Order: sequence, then C-alpha cells, then structure tokens
Amino acid sequence: MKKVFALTLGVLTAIGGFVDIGDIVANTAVGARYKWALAWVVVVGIIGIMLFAEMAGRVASVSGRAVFDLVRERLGPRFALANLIGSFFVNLMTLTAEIAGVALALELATDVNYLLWLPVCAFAVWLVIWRVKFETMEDVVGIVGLAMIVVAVTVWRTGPDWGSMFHEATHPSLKSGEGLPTYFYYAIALFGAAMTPYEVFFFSSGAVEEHWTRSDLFVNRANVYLGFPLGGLLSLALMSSAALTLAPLDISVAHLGQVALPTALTLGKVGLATLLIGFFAATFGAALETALSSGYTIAQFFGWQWGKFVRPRDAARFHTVVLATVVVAAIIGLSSVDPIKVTEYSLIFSAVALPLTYIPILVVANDPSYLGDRVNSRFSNALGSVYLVIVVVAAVAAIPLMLATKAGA
Amino acid sequence: MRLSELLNKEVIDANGQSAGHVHDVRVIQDGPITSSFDAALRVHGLIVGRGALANRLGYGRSAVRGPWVIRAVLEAGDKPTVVPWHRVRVIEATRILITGSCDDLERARPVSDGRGAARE
Amino acid sequence: MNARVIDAALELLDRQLIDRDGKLAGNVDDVEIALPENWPDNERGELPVVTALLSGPGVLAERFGGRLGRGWAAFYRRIHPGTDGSGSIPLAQVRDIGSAIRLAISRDELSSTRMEEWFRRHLISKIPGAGHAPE
Repeated sequence: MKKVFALTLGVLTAIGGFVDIGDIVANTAVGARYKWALAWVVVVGIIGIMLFAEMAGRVASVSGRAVFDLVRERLGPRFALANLIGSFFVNLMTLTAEIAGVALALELATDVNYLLWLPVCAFAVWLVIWRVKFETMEDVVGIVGLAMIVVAVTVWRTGPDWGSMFHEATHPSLKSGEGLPTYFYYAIALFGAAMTPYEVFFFSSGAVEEHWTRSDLFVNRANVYLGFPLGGLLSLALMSSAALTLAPLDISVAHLGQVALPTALTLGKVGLATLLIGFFAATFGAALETALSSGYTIAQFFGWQWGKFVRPRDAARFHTVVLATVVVAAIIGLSSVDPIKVTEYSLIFSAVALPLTYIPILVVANDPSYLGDRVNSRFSNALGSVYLVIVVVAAVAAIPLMLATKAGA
Repeated sequence: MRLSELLNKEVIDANGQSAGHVHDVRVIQDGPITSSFDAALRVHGLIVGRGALANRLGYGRSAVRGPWVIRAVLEAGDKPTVVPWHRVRVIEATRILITGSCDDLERARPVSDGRGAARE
Repeated sequence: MNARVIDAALELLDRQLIDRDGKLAGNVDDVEIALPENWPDNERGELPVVTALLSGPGVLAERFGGRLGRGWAAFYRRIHPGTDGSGSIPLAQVRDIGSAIRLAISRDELSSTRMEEWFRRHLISKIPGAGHAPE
C-alpha cells in the first residue's frame, strides 16, 4: 500500500497540471471545435512534461535543489527575477482561476452562486497548506482526483469508431473557414497547458518535501512515467468526449456546465456526480499546487526557508507569501473576472515563460557537480534538445499569434 | 572589494586591446576551510571571455558537457582565457587594465570535478 | 596536495546557504575579497583572498545596479537603519562548498534573516498552529 501512495506526487502534479480548470475548458473547447485535429499536441506535451519533470525531480532528489534555486544559479539574479515575476504572475492568474473552478464545481453541485463559495474555497486552500501534512494532502487529493477517469468511461460508453478517431488524430485537417493561425494559437495553448512551469516547481519542491534522495530515483521515474501519461490520457478523454458529443451539436464551450454535458448525457446522474467530485479534486489540487508554487519560487529565489516539512514558524516568509497570494487571488476572483478567460491567457503566458525555466534544468541535468554519475543520458539529451527547439518556438510565436488571432476568436 | 565589482568589467591589455569581459574569478582552495588566520581561498586569476551566456551556464570551463546543441552554439563564439592575478594592474569603474599582451593568455582549463553531488 | 579549483561566480554566487541545523539560510548574494596590502605594488606577490560570503536583500540589490537596484537598496536601508543588510559570513564559518553551501553557525546569527524574524513574530506566530509540524 505504501508503494501505491509513493506514486501520488506524480498523480497529483499531473492531475493538477493536465486536468485543472484551464485544461478542462481548453481541451473541451478544442475537442468541440477541432475534434481530434489537435490531439497530437497533447501527446507532444505529455512527452515534454515527462522529460522536464524527470530531470527536475532527479536533480532535486540527488542534490536537494528545487527548480527555482537552479534558475537563479544558472541565469543570474536579473534573468531569474524576470522569470520570477513572469512565473508568479502566471501562478497568481492560475490560482485565481482554480479557486473559481472549485467554487464553480460546488455551484454545479449545490446551485449556490460560485461567488459565495469562492471565499470558502480560498480559505480551505490556505488551511490545507497551513495544517495538512504534505503526504496526506497529495494522497487524498491525488486519489480523489482519479474520479476524473469517469470522462474516459464516458468516451468508451459513447462507443466511438476508434479507427476513424485515430485517423482524424493522425491526419489532422481543418474544417472550411478555420484559419491556420487560430489552429496554431490553440496548439500553443494546449502545449502551454501540458508543460506549465508550475508543475515542475511543484514536482521538484515536492520531491524535497518528501525527502527523496539518490535512492528514490526509481520512485521519481515511476511517478513521472505513470502520473503524467494518466493526466494526458484524461485530457485526451475530455477532448474526445467533446468531439463525440458537443461537436455534432455545434456547441462551443464557454462554461464548466457544458464540460459536464457529455458525461451527464452518457452516464446519467451517477456519472455526473463522480465527474463533479473529480472536478472538485482536480481544481482543488491545482489550487494547492499553484499557491504552494508561488511560495516555492519566491522563497527559492531569495534562499529563504520554505516547505511544509518544517513548522510554519520556521518558514515565516514562505507562509506569508502563500497567505498573501491566496488572499489576492480570492480578491481578484471576487471581482468577477471571467475565470475561464483568465486561464486561457495564463496558458499562453506560461508558454512564453517556459524557456527561462526549461533551459536551466536541461543544463543542470548535465552537470556532474549536482548529479554525479546521474547526469542525462544521450537519449535524454537528444530528446531534450528537440524540446528545446519546440519550447523556444512556442514561446516566440505565442504573443504574435495571440494578437493576430485576437486570442483564438 | 566584492566579487561583483570584478565581474563583467572589460579587460584591456598594455596595448589597449580588449581581451573580453571578466566572466569569473578563479580561486584555489589550498587547504581545509577551518583556520580563521590563513584564509583558504586565494584568487588565482580572472576568467575572461566574450560570450556572456555560455559563461553563465558554465560551458567551456566546468564539467558540463551536454547537450551538444547548446554546447556547440555557445562555445563557438567563446574561448575563455585566464588572466593570472599578477598581471592585473588597475581596477577601474568599468575596465580592468593588465600588463603584457592579451595574445599570450592561456585558455581556461575546465575545473576538474571529481567531487560528485553534495548529498548522498 | 589536493588543491581544489573553484570558479567563484559559477560555484559560489547565488548558491543556497544551509545552516548548522539544516535550515535554509539565504543565498550567497555576493563574495567579499580582500586585496593584499599595498596592492598592486605588493613586493611579495601575495594573492587576494576570499574573506566572507555576503547574503541579504541589501547586497542583492547592489548587484542589480541601475535604478531598480539603487531604489531597492535605498528602501532596504530605510527600513533597516544602520545596516546595508549584509549578513557577512566569515569564511571560517563555511563547512562545505557543494551544490549548496553548509555553514557552521545558525541562521539566527545572521543579520540577513531579520525579516524572517519580523514576519515570524508579527504574523505567522499569531496564527494558531504555527508551532506544530503539519500533520
């Protein structure tokens, strides 16, 4: 049993990263609009985040240094500060959206307006970070989040023609009237959703929180190779359920309720209830992930004590940052900005910020003074170099595409 | 004096020629760090080169070898050299003046690293 | 003798400090170097020595330079009168230089962790549960 729980860090990171509010909406929206024509991006994203998280987790296990430590050591304070500001901004936007997402899931379940739930959710997020042990937090949220598998069941029960699905995914074509810039804009959004920097901030810091060492490298790999593909599978399932149910009805997704529609139609009340539990856990997990990441990044930039492995009073500035971030996110959320719009933008900005986090990790993963004989293999480096190109191209193209397509309108 | 007061300054030789910018300060630890009377880290020289990014990432003078794409791109324009400390004459606000010609500076050899990772 | 070569900017600067109790104690924000007496006319050819590691927001601010750095440093001096905020750590207190730098002293002895203390005393300690390990 202990072995099973040893995998929950990867599961939580991946569920928080792949099926958080932004991905839930982005995947469903993309499935409804493009069916499977962008499924390949999810696959590219899964491989990329596995590569990225494995390196970050390995460095953290062997040297005890989490990602933002390395960002500053390798980029120097100026570039690291630019990255910090960008990453913190993305974190804050994502946290705002996740807290709103938890509240929206509760609204769907209770019919009480989400704005009333929002302060309660924000408080709950903070309380868990303040009081609950890291391992307990990841076990509970990771395992309850598995309820999202109901989406895969939905797809299976819909009884799709797997052959033509596969054909559409491997031979992407555009409906008439759809332009290439918009297609690529969504491609970058999906890629940004899979390879968010906060996933590696959280995963590598989590490795330190759990006291992983050189002898846990196997656990690191197992977490990465099971957790992230599972997360990726769920995002493909969301895309497929939308493609199968929503695309024929010509519904474009703008609300969380529409995301639940395919499951409700196919599996009825029990399916819907399971899905809502999954939504709740996934968005709550992502809220924990982003709130903690905001503290991790700032504390690691300055070298402050961070983490839940010490008493809060021994990491005073870290807990101050987390508390302040949650409060600010709740206030932004209450100002009733559209949480779904917020995540769409945050996905694009995380694609822009990604190289500044990816490059230091790739370099340190080759540095024997951190890793001894556990430096990257030739294979990791070959793949790492391919992704270096992808990551940089996506970062450079993101903003121009966003402006040219008016954010995918 | 602080380390940051040496970094990034332009190094000029006796003929007024630029040798590049200070990328690092190479120190030698000649004993255990214990005695407070005889500090153990002595400045051996300045690492001087042209590509600032290659330098910051440690290519060309540390044990970091891969991935070759990054290494090839960054090392192409940068062959860092060592200015032995005894050739340093004047430290100005933005420049450091050295004796002799910059043509006879030696290539910076990578620091050997047999220490492995710090934590087991 | 096994002399170890260290490139100071690469291997010291911006590294994590860990105190004797294993607590994270800031980063190396700069390094203090002492020039030999009468340099550069020192006859005996003595070399400069690294005397201390510097840590703290005031030191970091100065490394930024420019308007941002100056403003930040000035602000820091204002809220911490009579100090540049540099937790100066004599080299004799350094135990090990690796992927982190281990110290022989407690972080509470560093002036650079005063902000940590301030937040501990005035905010975090006042919230119930601050003294318990999460459970």
